[in-house]
Amino acid sequence: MHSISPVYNEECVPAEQVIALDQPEYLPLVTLRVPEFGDICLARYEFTDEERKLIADGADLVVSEMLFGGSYTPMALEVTPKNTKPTMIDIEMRG
Amino acid sequence: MNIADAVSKFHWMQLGEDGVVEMFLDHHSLATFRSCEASFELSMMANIKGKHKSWNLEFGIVFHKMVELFYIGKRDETFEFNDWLSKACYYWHLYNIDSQFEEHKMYKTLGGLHGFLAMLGQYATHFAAEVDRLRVIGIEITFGKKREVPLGEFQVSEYYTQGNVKGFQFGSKEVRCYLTGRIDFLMDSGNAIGPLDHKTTAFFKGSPSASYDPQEGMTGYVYATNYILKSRFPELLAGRKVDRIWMNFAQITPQADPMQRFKRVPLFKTEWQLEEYRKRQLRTFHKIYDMVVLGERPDWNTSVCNNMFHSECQYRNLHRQNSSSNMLNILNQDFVVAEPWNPEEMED
Repeated sequence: MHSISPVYNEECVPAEQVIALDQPEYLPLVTLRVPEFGDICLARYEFTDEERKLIADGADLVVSEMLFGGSYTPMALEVTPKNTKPTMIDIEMRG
Repeated sequence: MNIADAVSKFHWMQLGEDGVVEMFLDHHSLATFRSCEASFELSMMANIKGKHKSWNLEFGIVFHKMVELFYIGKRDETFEFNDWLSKACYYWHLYNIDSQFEEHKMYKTLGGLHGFLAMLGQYATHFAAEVDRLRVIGIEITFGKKREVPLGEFQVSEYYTQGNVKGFQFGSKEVRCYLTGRIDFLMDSGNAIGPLDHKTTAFFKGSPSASYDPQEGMTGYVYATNYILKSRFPELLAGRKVDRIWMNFAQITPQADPMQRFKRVPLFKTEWQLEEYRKRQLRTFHKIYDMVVLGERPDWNTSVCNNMFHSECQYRNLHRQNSSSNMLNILNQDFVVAEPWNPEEMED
């Protein structure tokens, strides 16, 4: 899978930031930071055809996060169509 | 601004041999940032300075020069009163005090050069008796880029811009911070070692030390003295505390009793105060780093426009303008791009 832009929609692309550009030990990660809603950092991943087939056949998604000595942070995963608002933002808006 | 640009533009940001960002700032710069970030941006980042000289700065330089010569002469047993006053005339004229400030209120209060010579005569009389009690063991002790006084480090995410792409690197990096400055005199009283600082004021209102307790500059001198002596000259510490700064206060206004014109006051600092001071300075360093590297816009603290370190802020007229073009006119008319503020390289 690959981190892709736009994370949300074209309008928000100028606010996107690429984490780990020129940091060869990591893959670049396109992010959209939304400080208005609990300082959420969004990223969108596009699956390859092979991954889509694996998931369709019952494979799971495994998340690995490096903590650099810091604390684990809450994380939400969801499947959304392109150009749609992630549920996390709606949850934060509703308070 | 990326790190490479920042370290090439600001002498107070460097890369250590291990690639770690190092910052070197003195009390004046840190206090300027805390007083008004906009003033810091203009003075420390853009090096924009007013064309007009300040009485406090210019007179302060001459006065400090004479005090320095007094203590050097006393220490080396070469002090000669008339020769000393001749040098006072030389420095007074070298810094063009008459032509620059003859209409200044403090110049008139002091009484010009003759008043200055009288003040120095009283100073020498007043403090000569104490020279043996408070012995000079160091003069003009500079600390700075040689990392003499570390304050610690803070962690930052590494920010970058490449074309239109901006972002951070994963993980965090440390930024090391060092205090810079200069101790005019290091004194030994027999049971304590500490810096001696001089302050001139129009006249004493109550205890003259009240304005400097608390004051980060004074605490910083004690912190620096403490660190330098413990790390480099522990042999000097036998039987002596490093918990104070002595301050010599002088009134510009002539007094009926000349002996009332000066006061020496010690200010004491505990280990706890020094540690809290260190942590506060680190926080200021971090905010300055964020302003430089993340490009955060500086706040204007308009409550100090009329009282920035006891004087009107030099940028007040600039910030009063009602359009950017008017600001540009004022910049061209009243300001110059000067050499960066670098107390390590100052002669005075």
